[in-house]
Amino acid sequence: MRIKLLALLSAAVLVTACSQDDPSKGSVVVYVSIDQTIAEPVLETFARETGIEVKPVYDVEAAKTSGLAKRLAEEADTPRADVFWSGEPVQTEVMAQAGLFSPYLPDKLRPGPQPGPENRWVAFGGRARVFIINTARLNKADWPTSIYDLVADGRDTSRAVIAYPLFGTSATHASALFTTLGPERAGAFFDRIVAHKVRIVDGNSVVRDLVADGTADFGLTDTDDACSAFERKPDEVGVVFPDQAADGMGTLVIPNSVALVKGGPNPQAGKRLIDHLLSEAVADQLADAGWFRIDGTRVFSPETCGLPAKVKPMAVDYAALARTMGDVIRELRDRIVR
Amino acid sequence: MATAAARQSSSREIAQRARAVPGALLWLIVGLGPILALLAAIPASEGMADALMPSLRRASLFMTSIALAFSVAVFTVTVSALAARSLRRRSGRASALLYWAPLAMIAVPPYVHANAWMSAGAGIDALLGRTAATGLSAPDAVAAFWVQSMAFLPAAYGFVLLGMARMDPMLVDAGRIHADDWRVFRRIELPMMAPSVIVGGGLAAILSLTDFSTPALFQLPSYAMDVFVTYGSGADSGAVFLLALPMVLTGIAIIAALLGRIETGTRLPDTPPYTAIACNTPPAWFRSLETVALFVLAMQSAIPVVALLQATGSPAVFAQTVAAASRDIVSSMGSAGISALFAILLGLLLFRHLENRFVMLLCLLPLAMPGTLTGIGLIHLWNNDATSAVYGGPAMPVLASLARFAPIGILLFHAHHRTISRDLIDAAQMFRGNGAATWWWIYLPLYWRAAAGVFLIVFALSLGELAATILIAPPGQGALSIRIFNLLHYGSTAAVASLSLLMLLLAMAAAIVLLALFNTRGAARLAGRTA
Repeated sequence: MRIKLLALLSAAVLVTACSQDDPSKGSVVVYVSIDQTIAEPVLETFARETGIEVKPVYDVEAAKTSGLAKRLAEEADTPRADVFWSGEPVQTEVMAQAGLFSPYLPDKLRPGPQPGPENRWVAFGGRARVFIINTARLNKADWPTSIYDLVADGRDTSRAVIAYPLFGTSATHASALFTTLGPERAGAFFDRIVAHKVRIVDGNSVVRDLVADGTADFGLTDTDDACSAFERKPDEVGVVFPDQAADGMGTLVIPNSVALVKGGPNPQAGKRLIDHLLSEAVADQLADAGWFRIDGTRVFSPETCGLPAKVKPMAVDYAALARTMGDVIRELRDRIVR
Repeated sequence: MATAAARQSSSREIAQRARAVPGALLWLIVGLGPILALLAAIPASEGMADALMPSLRRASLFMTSIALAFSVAVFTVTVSALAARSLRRRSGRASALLYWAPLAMIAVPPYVHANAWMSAGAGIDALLGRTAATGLSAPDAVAAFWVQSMAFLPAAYGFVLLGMARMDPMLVDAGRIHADDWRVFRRIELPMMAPSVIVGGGLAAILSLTDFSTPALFQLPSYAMDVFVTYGSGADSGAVFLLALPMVLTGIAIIAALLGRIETGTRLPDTPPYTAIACNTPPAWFRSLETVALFVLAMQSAIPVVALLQATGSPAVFAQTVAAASRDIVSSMGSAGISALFAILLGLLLFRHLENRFVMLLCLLPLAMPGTLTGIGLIHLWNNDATSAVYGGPAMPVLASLARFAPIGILLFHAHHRTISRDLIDAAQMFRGNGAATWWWIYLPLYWRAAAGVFLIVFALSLGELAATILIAPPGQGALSIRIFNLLHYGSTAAVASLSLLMLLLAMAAAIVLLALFNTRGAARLAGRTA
């Protein structure tokens, strides 16, 4: 009887397991590490316009953008995804260097998107690292203007907050600082972050919430997080780009990236999705949704986030960042996670 | 004559072993498969040196995690035991419901508790006109301890209830003739409850040890976080498994240490229906402790529920959010439902063999695995050409849930099995063998309540599973937990609250169904209360 029961239930699972759609009908599998709320309408538009069924898998901030990137790496021998759409470029370049992507560029690439090394991925649109400030807690004269304000003597830095520089865009920023400042100065900067008791929290959205609620005075986060708080509480929240002075290093601009997975099951549909994602229409759609804020040095809808119309970006080489990112994370892990 | 009997006994033994084969094979694939796949990845690991490098920093993190896990375990079982004891003295359906209601909170993930308690802390701070006075909105080991305790309290509470059920009311009453309630509790009740209480504490400790998100939220570095960061820095899965081994081995050690306790701890007293005499009054200080514990237990449920209701805003927002997420809800409920059915099947196939400690260890081993490692193990196991029909399909979330939660189901079946008189089964098998009739007329009436319990608990836990699901979710098939975390990042407080509330309502509905299935008398019997 138990064996019959086992057989019956196993058959049920096999039936459901094998009831996947036939890929030949026209479908594309995309691993998406940007917010589902933002990506879903874009993918639905593509499916409606092309008739190609889109099968997305979404990442979550709790997985620190490493969830789907790691999944792609673990699946390298038998790829399941066609397209990887990420909210940042360095993890994508890391995977490109590991040979996980095929070179692909659309026939007509509009101005704006920038191909990565060997055309294995394309950067498009962008967010930037910004300070979010609680205006009830800090007078405008006291607003931070440089990342060094996080470790400035004379400030109550225990009321400043950053996300763990070990995950996601915070790790990308930390890695960029190590490349720009050099390992010694950057390492010393993070030692001072710890010594000054700057709060290090679980993610950029937590930074946003703590500052917006007044639990912290100011924090370092991404434009999408900061601007969403600004839209909800324009009288209580301020947003500024750090290090914009003439001799400042600029702020890190973080473009989205998209890549064609090597050996994916539906390469043609994958290429069509990449063409769509790099289109002007999608750029507008993502800018309207508040996801894209930056295009080169231009700032989209700056008035909706209290930002200037132009930004001074940090000069970074993503290929170099990708090569050093793992070492930087391990270095910071040893300094911070203790 | 003796030879014939020996032959008969031997053939019965062979038949019994043959019947164990399907269950063993299924468990080898479903439960132990991900662990074996990770073990197989170790020889090819390139990051072995970093993983095996002894480090004071790692040792210190490990000790922090152990201290947190131990504190959470002690606190959760203490609160559970005191609160359950206080509730047990009260009679009536309402108190029976209150007695069981905290179990519904098992489906509420730690982040909901964290958000709720941080909101409550901020509210108290605002009332007092202070900033971060409660410590719940400040980086604090105490805050991490508190939120983990609230999140894992239902798991410990469930085993404490089993412990209560294990108490022989006649022995307790016999003690009360000669001593006050405190002495009876200390000398008679506690020793009888202890095995189950220890198992509950062990489970809470394992959950705490493998939870990375709550300590990180409160800026408390933990060993689980170190493992996660190392994985994110590019280490291969073999190295990460090696790095996680101290955590896994500690989990195994806890399980191994609890094995003996589990065997006795899950056994109910085989006493005839008995009406306990009226309780004596415990000393005032002990009653105060019970009241405090009862208050903590009530707050454990009330704070998240109130915070979620408040954040949801209105029924319209709730309805709108649920409608927008309906596909993910249906898909998650489907996966959770199938997982729960398979957990029942695994329980039925394996519970009898748990008498063997080695088998029990193999059955409970997956409990010690962090969810992320289970996910990686599942990719290694299933992502190949031979099993491509399964990998990437809707079976994967089911396999992830089973790998994580089926051990709890098997354990519950085992617990229920220990309450059943074997005479009934032996008598039936003597006349009807082990055929369909025995299953229909004997096993089904005896085990359907356990099956219902396993279904509902595995269903509730599977609904909120995230760590493994994110790594193996089939393309195009959403999951409720993934949507909630996405909304959390997006800052949609009302939507997060609505979906969390939905999960809670589903779990509560499950608990009410469970209570109805047991009926008041049955529930009271299981709780060791007088019906």
